[in-house]
Amino acid sequence: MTRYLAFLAVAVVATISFLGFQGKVSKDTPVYVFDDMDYQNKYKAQGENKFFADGRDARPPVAGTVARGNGLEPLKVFSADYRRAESLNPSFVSGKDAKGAFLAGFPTQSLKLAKGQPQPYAVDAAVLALGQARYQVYCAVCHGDAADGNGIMKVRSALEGDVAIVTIANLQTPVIRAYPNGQLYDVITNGKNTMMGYGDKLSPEERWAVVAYLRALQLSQNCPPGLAPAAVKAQIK
Amino acid sequence: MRKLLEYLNRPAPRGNFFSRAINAAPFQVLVCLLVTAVVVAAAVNEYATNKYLNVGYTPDQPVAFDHSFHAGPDSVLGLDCRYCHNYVDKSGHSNVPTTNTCWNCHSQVKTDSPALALVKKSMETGEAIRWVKVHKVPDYVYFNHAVHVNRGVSCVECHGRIDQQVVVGQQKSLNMSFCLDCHRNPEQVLRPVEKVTDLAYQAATPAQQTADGTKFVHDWKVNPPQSCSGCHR
Repeated sequence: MTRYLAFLAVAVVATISFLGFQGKVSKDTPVYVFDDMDYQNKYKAQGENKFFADGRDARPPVAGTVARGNGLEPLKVFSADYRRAESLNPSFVSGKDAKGAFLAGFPTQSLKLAKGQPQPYAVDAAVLALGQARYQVYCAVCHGDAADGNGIMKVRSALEGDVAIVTIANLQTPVIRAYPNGQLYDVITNGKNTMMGYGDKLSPEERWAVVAYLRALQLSQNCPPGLAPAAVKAQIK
Repeated sequence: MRKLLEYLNRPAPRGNFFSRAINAAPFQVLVCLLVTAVVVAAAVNEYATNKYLNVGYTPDQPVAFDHSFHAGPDSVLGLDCRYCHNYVDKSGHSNVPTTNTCWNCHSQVKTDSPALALVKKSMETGEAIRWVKVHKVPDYVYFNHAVHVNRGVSCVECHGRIDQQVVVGQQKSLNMSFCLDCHRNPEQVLRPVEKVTDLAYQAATPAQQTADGTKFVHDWKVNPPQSCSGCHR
């Protein structure tokens, strides 16, 4: 018995020194003792696929593909009276009117359909809140919380001596303040100069919300005295 | 114990085929079996679950991206998680960022850094960067990121303090009981939606967390599924 217990003790010590304890940092791919159906041969989001030359599960859409998804139900999409909101209200997606000129204001109709017709679009507190949330995640990095072009990217490029210090735009300049809303929307979507487009990251609704919030930021830095709240007016005098 | 063994081992009377020592055998076998059972149970508990097999998995990535430098309010850059993982609140799958996302900044910042050579190559050729997936759940588990982050479940609950990691490793077990802990007591983890990507956020006190969480569960009608088909299909 003693001999067996001694052997067991040695085995325990050997196991622990070989395997360590829980949480051990390791570069080795985890071992699956019973892998059951943990790994299945199916296409996964951003998965790897040796069958295709580019090694990806995700296939690029064939030219002319119409976007589906975003909660659209196939039965609805393929019914005869189905209309895409984007096709009924292209201005909302492009930022341009029928003649190809940038919209001066905000689109009047949204992508929400009721009885097959686009519903009115209006900038309200909810839109501004959405715009603020998105602006602070995606835009403030370069353009700064006050849209003056002094985001963390400018600070870092000053320290590192990178070109971004001159290429990051100050959005409070008269030139950009004079942009029509549609042009701001277009810049967000497709980028401009060294800025890459954010159309892949922000939906059309979010992009218009960011435009609205940017307008609010511009107003905050160039507020005519008449628009200021009473408390601020008193301070000015 | 010694006396017991002495008694069991007392000399056998004449004529007995087996020695008295045999009397101790069942007792000894029992002790050995019990000790072995305890050791085996402890070993299984320690080694046979995700807590050992998966936690701590920290593979090298093709590009040495440092989360602790880029991400989180305490980091140098202070990027929000969603700047790069931009579909996390829109899609079930939280995307690994496209090379374009890196290039938004790195087309102009640290452009010649050797650390970015692969990013540059990917940008030029369109070839994907083969990031190594760290956090895995089995393929029969359908975890939806958007549902969770839009209902106040923070990234930190499953991924830990990624904003403090230089190389990302798995910190939570991600096994089924880990999921069920939250699904049974959602009020212990829910936080204001705008704090979801603030990995350092904590309610002032545990009691406050319970109070806030209970309110969120009620207001947002949070009803985490505990049936099989909630996550498996």
